[in-house]
Amino acid sequence: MRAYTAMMGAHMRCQLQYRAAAWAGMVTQLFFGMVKLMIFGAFYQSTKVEQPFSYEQMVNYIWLGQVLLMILPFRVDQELADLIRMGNLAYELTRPVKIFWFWYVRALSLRIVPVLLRALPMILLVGLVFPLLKLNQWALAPPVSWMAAIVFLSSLVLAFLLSAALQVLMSVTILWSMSSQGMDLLMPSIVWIFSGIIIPLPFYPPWMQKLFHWMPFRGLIDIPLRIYMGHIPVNAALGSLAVQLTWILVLLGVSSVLLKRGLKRVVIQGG
Amino acid sequence: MQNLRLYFRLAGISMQRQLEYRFSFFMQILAQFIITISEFIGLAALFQGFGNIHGWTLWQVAFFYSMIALGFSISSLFTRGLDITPQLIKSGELDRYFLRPRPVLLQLLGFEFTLRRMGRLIQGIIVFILAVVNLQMHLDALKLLLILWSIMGSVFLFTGLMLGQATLSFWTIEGLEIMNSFTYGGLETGRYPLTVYKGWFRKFFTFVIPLGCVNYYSILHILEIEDPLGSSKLFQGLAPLGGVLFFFLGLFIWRMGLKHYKSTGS
Repeated sequence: MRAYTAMMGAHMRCQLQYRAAAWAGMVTQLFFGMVKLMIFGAFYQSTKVEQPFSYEQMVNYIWLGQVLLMILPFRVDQELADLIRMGNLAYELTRPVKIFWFWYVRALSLRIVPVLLRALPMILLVGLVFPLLKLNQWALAPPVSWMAAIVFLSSLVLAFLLSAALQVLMSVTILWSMSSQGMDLLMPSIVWIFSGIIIPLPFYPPWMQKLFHWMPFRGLIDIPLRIYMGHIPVNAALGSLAVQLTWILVLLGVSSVLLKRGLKRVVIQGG
Repeated sequence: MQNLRLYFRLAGISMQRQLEYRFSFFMQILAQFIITISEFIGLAALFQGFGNIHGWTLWQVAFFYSMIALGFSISSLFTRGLDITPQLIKSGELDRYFLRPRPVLLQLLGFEFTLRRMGRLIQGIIVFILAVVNLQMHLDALKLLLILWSIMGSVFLFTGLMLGQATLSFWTIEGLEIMNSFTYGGLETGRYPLTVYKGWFRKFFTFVIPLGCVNYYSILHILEIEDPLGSSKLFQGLAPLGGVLFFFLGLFIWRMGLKHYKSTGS
């Protein structure tokens, strides 16, 4: 256990070096948030029909989506991919740790640190500074209740665990494909749509929502955000947390089996 | 002239290389197509719920959407080399490009003709056709010319932005994500008519980055809609020139950057 936490600490410190990237990312995420706010603002002004969310809820969904953007496993872990392709995997195999959990804590830190780096300044800005600037209609509101806040945080923790599980699954598939084809190419783009980051999932046609319902990706963004703004009420939220947890276990199970099989037939390349 | 021939040769080799892995290649195109078409389904879903956006209908917006998608995707076919310039700098690989007796930019553009990005192009063409059919547009010669002219304008604009991004990477590699605001952000912004946005934002995307010129104004002319912002027909027709000028500005900045470039020395 100590080895894994130590590894995680080291990876996290490594990630902390990318502070300039975090600032640049924050500006970009603020920009995208504002574009979305203007577009949805115009949509809401154009209709009297009841929508799945109120405009205020939509504002929260958009900002939280931008704040948590880096939780999405939208990129293959390039270092791991190179390691597998170049044959340095051999070194990984010699370490006295379970390679699966070794990769999992690595994936976790890869997801957690960029979010933490960006989240605080962004929340301060859109949650506190925006109201001071009289930009109330663009400001992030607090969670609907204390209970919702607690459930939201638990759901967020699960979202990180889920995202890291997807990340590991992507890495493991490289053992088979050896290149950027297959799942490691498809998945990053899929999470864009199916997590709800582009358009909140409740706004899609019913047949697509059924499809989303049976996929793990809504556990990354859509579930935690809707708990935060009360769109999933606290008493119904336990079911949503169970969905997240189930997917974490399923994905971890699948990737650990795939890894075991993959390592059996692995050929170390390079010299 | 010789340079142009060299470019086509490089692009040809690059295409051959990508076609070697035929299955992977088709999968990649299919993947990008599915993703981008789902984006459009999302847009259509929003219109089902909201009906219109400031009076614009789904198919009018779809026309804006497809026009900007076409410009963006065509530009993205040949700007992969500019996309990865930061990595080339980091690894010191870019230095080799300086040693060869051909322009650095030519070599970068020839780095790859990215066929898999055809997925977005195909999506753009499909949405374009759907919009034209549903709006019952009569495409005469003048309109076709205007359509081509605006697409050309946005290809120039996005290529200019990519040049800016590559130039910026001479100074900073980490801060580059900011440029996504203008490239992908431009793509996102251009999907809706400018009237949807606030005044300061419209001005930014007209006078600083002339996205409105290659998209909003010329499309109003094509759709024969009076501009709620009050621009004249003549201005609308000439507007895509803004994209071309922006490209040359980008080229100028790129040349300045090249002079400034110091190798990472690894």
